[in-house]
Amino acid sequence: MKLMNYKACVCNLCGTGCGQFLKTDGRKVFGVAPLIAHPVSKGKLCIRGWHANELLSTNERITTPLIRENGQLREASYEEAIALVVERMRQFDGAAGEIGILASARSSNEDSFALGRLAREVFGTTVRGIGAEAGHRKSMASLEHAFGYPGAHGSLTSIDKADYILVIGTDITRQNPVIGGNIHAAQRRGARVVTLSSSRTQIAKLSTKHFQQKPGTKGLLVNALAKALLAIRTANRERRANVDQMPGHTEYVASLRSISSVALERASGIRYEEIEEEAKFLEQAKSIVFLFSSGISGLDRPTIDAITNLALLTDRMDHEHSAVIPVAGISNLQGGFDMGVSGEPGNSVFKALAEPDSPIRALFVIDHDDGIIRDKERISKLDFVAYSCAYRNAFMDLAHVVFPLPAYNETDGTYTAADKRVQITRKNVDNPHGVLPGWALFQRLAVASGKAWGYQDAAGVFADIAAKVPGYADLSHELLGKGFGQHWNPKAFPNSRQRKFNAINIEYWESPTTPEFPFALMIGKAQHYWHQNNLMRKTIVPRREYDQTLWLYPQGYIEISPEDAANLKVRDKWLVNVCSSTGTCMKIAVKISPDVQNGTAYIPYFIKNMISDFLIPYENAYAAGEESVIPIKIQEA
Amino acid sequence: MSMYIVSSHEIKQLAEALRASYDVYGPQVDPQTQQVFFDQLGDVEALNLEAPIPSMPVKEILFPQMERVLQYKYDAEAQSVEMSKPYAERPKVLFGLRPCDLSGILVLDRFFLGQEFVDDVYLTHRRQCLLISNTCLNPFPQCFCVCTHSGPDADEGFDLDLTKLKDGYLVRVGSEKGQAIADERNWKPAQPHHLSEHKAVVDRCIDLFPEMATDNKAWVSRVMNRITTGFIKSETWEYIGDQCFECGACSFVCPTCSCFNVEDSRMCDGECERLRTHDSCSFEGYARMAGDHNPRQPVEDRRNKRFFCKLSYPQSKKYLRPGCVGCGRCQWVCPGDIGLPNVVQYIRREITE
Amino acid sequence: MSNCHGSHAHGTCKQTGLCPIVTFPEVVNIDEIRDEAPEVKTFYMSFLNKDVEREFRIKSGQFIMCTVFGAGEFAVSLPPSPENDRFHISVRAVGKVTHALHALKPGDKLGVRGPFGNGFPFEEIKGKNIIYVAGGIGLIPLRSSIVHALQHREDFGRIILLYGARSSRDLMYQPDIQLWKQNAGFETFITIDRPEEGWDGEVGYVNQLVDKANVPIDNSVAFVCGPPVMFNSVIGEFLKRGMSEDAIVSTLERQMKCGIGKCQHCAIGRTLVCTDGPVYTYRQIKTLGEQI
Repeated sequence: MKLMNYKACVCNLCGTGCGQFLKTDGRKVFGVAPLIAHPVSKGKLCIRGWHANELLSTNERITTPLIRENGQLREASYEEAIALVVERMRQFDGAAGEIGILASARSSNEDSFALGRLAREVFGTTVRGIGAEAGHRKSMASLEHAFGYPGAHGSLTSIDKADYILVIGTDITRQNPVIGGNIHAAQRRGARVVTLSSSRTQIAKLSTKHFQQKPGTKGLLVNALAKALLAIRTANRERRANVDQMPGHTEYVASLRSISSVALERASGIRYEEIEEEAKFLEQAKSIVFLFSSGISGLDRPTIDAITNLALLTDRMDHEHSAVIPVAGISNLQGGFDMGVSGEPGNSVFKALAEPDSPIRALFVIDHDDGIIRDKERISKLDFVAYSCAYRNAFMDLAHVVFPLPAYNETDGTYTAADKRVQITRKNVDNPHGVLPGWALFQRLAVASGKAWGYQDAAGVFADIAAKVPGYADLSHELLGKGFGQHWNPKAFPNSRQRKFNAINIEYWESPTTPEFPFALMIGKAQHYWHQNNLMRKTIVPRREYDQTLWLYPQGYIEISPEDAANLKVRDKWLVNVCSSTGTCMKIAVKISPDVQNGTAYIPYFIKNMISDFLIPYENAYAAGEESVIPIKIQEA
Repeated sequence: MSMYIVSSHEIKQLAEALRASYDVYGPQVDPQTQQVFFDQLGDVEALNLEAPIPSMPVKEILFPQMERVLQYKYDAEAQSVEMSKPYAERPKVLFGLRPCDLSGILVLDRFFLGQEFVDDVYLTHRRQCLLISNTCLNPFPQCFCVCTHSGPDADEGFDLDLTKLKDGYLVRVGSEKGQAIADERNWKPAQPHHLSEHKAVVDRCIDLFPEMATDNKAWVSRVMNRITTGFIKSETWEYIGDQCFECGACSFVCPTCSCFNVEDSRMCDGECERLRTHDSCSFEGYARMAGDHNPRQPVEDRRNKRFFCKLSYPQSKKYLRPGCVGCGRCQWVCPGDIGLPNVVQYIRREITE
Repeated sequence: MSNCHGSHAHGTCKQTGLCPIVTFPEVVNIDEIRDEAPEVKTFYMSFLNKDVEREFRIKSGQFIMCTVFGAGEFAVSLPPSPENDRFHISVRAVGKVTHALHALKPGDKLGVRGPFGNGFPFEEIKGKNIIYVAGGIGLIPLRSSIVHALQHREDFGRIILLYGARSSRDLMYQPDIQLWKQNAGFETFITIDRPEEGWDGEVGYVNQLVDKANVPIDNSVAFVCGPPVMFNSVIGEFLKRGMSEDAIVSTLERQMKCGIGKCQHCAIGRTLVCTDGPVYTYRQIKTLGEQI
């Protein structure tokens, strides 16, 4: 007998994919309960998950299609809005690159898959991309080279069983708190948890060992760990035939041998002897989990390559509790890649928008965070922009036509978590405005353009996904509805048995800081800030928690160490001018933190000007994500 | 106090009969996830008195996670306002309460109804409420009610109390309301041996508690003493604070946590509603004031506040018992390792070191 | 108490014996709005329900919960005297709700619950000197008590006001102060932080006025209200001169969501500011166990 008021679903607020119950009468959502039997979240939720009811109760919803007329959006029927989109899109040449698709990492697989078809079959375009995909594309490329398929290796549940867990960079207790909690639990049961990060994050405090390296040297340290591991094997005269024969091994080993312990220590601040000690633990471990952040602030490609290489070198990757997981900050980033709506270098919508002479004239956008509209000016000058989202946000101002979408609990949909776990959320609330699900909207657009897809429901779309998307063949809504999801099958990829080392270069990262610009500025994380707060801004308690930071530091803040603060003669909350070596400046308050190393500084990426004014001029820094370092000086304001 | 011995069938009949004039809530098992909720019964067949402790506290029914407490529409042009009360009184039965949840309700009663002012929202939900408790025959994982004097059987506050014995359920009457219900039914009076069997069942259950729980029993009061007097090292609070992920879960699942937030929000049609939502003192913004002042910033301070509320004498005076009822839910949901029994352990470790 | 306003109240407040509006806000009309100081406005108001208007009683030092319709509810201390004074509040725009309040016009409506809180201990201090010390908008919660004390001038010894603000524009209730000065034996000392053209009064911080005013320590109570820095330095001055910690009284501000001791946002250590406070002696404040 089904419960009257509690409905199981999957939390949609990050890439962990936690199990969640919504307390609902089928019309409104009144509360949340954790799902104890869920294999990953095991009855835990973070502040986001616990307040999903607030997001799902917000009044800031788009409730009807809208059409811009005389500069203002006015309500319209689906017929009218769909006809308008079809008519306008016909005027552009998709094949010539005039139409771009900007997909969402929060859309269900069904929606993204149908969007991909719409792009190809109706708009005739391959210019596309997913918001916040940059970091994940690097992870996918590196993993595909190493393991033969673009996805995580292993499962998040491995954290609960593995002997050794290496967390590279990510402030995981803030970004994916439930994964952070699982790591903490692993540490308590005796697993060795090692964190590499330049600041003393919460997970660093909860780790068995924290390497607090200088900025920009995570990859180097991972490579040094590989070198030390290799040295142990050489000393033991141990050979690992399967590893030694992997393509790229010779080059990899040669590169590792070239690491100089003196240069390593100078660059990273970590002594090689410490690394050698660590390598002993790594060598003894039977099962190893590697975790790193994948998303807008993820790692750069060389660091990810260093991680996947080390993973292969350990020779533990066939153990059932080993894993290499790029942890996504957004619920269905992995699914978006699987459904083929991510942009590749040749057809990236971001590139099209960034290049002034690209042919792009129209854009079809799903649920985009307005906090990071990178090419706002270009988008505002396009001939036609259509936008679809469940929630109101500033992106609507750029659109000529707006479509509503259901919230994640108002329609059936599947989502693929960071570790490839595909899970289903069933509709448990009726959208009060009769809003069409994304796939159905895209199908209506296709029908109006003379194409018949014949989908009856989301399960039908998924059946098509199973038929066409590698790895999804064995899955169906019916099957996914029975348990807590299932990982898609990597064996569907022909290269999945052929592992390969990525090519690496040993570079001793030289800090770009100078006597004039002595601080290495990095992008920091802050509590309660996710998804550029497009969603969290629509809640009550998490929004208050976010505002709390701004109450204390209304101009935003730069975190520096107590010693640096003393040298600069500044106190907490004092305003300072932060100027970069290229001349961008911002006025911001000082936040003194004992968790920060001398000579480094962090500004959370949600601070209003951080990305738009300060960071974007640094194209390379933006691309390098978590590893980006900007030389700055800090002066009294 | 009258006592009866009643068959399982009669218990179901009682639930069915009560449904005629009450909303009946009781423990049910979700077939898909096997998770237990204390939810409204669509069908008495779903009532499962042997199900483990419900995953969410029963306070959800009397003090829900999110509730509309005021509705109004302001007409700026006419400068006029219309207000209405969106919550309503409904007679209800809480059928098969675990003793810890019953204790939680008693704490909330004393807090919401017994202090200086009466909370109208809580009173409205609580006023016509029949409480039927259910003795625990086995402790569930993480239970430690034996340490906090709130189980495994109930000794006050119920209208009717059930204990499963060999011959059926022993029904103890705890109030006139309960007696009136019993009088309407043709129940067999219990025999003296049923009462001794009841005692044996409870004793057996106490014996089954894990060592940690029984071992902590004396420690809970020593720890309360420490927390009250403030003689706890800051390192211990820091150790606890480092493990706090600031999710608020401990407060949301606690049968006695009563903090809430109030916020007005505007609907699409100009209607406004005042939402009251559960809050947690572990949140940084919880004590924040307009302007630029937060008296309670570091996370260990905030945790400290919560444990003071659960385990200190001044607070116990308000509740007439410790603020913790030993249900162990905070231990289940904490992504760190700072559920209340563990905090007792940490402080205990400090005392013995 | 039989004269409690209608069904909205739930009994009387044990501490004050008053019958506050507990649950449902009563609607008031904004009769008049005055600019008091930069970012501070005073709102004069009256209840629409005339029974409530007639029966609404307050105590000095109490506060109300004020609803700005569409924005939310906030706690605000009451500046009017309990007797013969217009019902009003003075509010600085600091957050979302108070900014919304500042955007309102006369004729707009507000919701009011209360009054809540313990209030100043008037009975106990009869016959004593009262020293009021305020910084900036700290005069708001003291105003009620000053007017009340002047209305009962014969009950007290010396009545002294030491008041400081950042600049002359930031001085609150200037017409009131002029009026109070006309009372026999009301001593006023006013200072601003920095020299200013056209200002011939004192310059400097409030704690320096303690000497200027030659304040009596014996048989005196000090009501102190202002920003933490001022508060601490002034209290230092009084303690140095031997004033008892029980004789120094202040009113605390905390975030409040309910006003009736339920939401717990205003908890400081063991006390709830809304029901146990907001008025505390310095001795109590010291033992609250949290920052002020």
